Amino acid sequence: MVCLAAAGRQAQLLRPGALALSDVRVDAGSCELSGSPIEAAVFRAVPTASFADGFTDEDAGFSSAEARAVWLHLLSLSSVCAINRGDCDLWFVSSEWPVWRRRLGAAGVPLSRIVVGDHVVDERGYWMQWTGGVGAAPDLLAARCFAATIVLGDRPTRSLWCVGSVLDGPRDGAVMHAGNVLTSHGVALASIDVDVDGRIAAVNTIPSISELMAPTVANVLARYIDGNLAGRRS
Amino acid sequence: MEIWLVGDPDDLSAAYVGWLAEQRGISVLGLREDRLGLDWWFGSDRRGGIRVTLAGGRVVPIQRTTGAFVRLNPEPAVSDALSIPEDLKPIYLQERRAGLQFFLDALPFVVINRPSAGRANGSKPFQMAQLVSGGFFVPPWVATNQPAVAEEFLAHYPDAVVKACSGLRSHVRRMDESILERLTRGTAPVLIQQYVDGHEVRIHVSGDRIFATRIDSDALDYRFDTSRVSFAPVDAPGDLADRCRSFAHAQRLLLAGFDFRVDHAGVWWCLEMNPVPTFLPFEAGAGHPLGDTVLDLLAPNRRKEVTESPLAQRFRPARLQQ
Repeated sequence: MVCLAAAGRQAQLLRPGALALSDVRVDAGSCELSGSPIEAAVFRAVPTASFADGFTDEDAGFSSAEARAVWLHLLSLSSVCAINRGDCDLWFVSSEWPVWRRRLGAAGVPLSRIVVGDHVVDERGYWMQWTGGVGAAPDLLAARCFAATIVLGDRPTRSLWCVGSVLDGPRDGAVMHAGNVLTSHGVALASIDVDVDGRIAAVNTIPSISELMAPTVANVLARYIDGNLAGRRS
Repeated sequence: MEIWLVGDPDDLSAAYVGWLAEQRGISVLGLREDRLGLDWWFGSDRRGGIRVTLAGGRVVPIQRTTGAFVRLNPEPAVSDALSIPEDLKPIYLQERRAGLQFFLDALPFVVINRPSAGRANGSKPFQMAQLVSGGFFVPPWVATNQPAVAEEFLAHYPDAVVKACSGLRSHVRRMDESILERLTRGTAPVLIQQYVDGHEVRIHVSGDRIFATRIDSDALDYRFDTSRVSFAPVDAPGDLADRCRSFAHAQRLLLAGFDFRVDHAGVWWCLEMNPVPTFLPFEAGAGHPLGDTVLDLLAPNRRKEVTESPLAQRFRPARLQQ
């Protein structure tokens, strides 16, 4: 917000829990928040999060789903410079890395070797949970019940992909290849995990950003948005 | 030869497909979501090969399996045998569901449908944009929680309905003062759409086959008011059928249900596409052999020419009473 303000752009911060009650208007080609057109949006919430603070427990799930549905569309509108672009394959799942694994694999990006479920106890690696986070390999019953995934080898290194380049972490060929695939799907900000063999282990489009990197990322995103909006008017 | 029924053991469409399979002498294996890890489990090895094992150690000969029919319950059960604490159950359910989806994506045979397909249905606004791109007419709409915006829309389209923006099952209602009042009090966005006066048609795509069913009902939402609803087979315009087929296939769906309203001028307005369509009422009411066509896809070596639904044969007397 500070960087956008410095560029003369007005920005508004919305907590995820406030989305359901925010005054919104969306149709087939345009959207408004509290009566003002939304020209750009940086969406930094897990899509399956609760967006409905202030509702009763009974209504919160439904209201959250309604807001989620609206914001997916809003972030996919060509009139909105979205970070990141709305993606229905990612929007309704608790785990995005299998989706990216499928897409990156289809694009020829080298992927970390994994084993799932019944095979995990025979292998050395770390448990990459479907809902996020990593841990030590589970026992056999847990592996079977959770369909646990073991990524073979040591924990990966993380690269931060931001507007077409790596701002932090390894810049291997596979990372750049994966980043370009992300860009083609409308992703401007993501973390890309790469293993010691240079293979991609995971992608996260709501990456955590360190305090150290935050100013750089904010500047890059603000420049990108400002340039995009300026380009529309010229 | 074997087919699998994956997910919800109480789903009627799955039970019907299983029954039809048994009539054709096809073996049926049920893989219940709530028994994953207990009655059955799977493993994916380093090369991506899938192995399914049943409790007791029998490995399912996957090369004998030709297809899987999937129906996942929105609120799946957790087995007491696992003693999972209440507060951890939501995480467990998400992990298990994601694992199951990986499994269904990895299967090397026909799956109807893979849960990763047709996801746009979770957002009506998003899906309607796709439908327009796919060449369908979609009635004008707005999604909002602002009364002034709703009133502005009503000024253009006085006859309107209100429905959920998400894919959650909910009643379609007439837009009226009570809805405006609810918006004034503050609520989540709703989808307001021009009402199309006419009748409703459901088009099912099953593989390459198209089945259209006209639905006549006094109710605004026949799904919830079934007291006076009748189903009859109808011909869909050829180009529209092609569009439905292309759209479903582009979404990687082998079975899909398109909802239309046909106005008095004969324009077919598309309301949505359902990637997990129930087909039993349409089969029983209109006689379309939908279950058999699904089974043809699941077990192509045991295809059977079926012209009339066995379900419709049993339910016909009930249909005549309507």
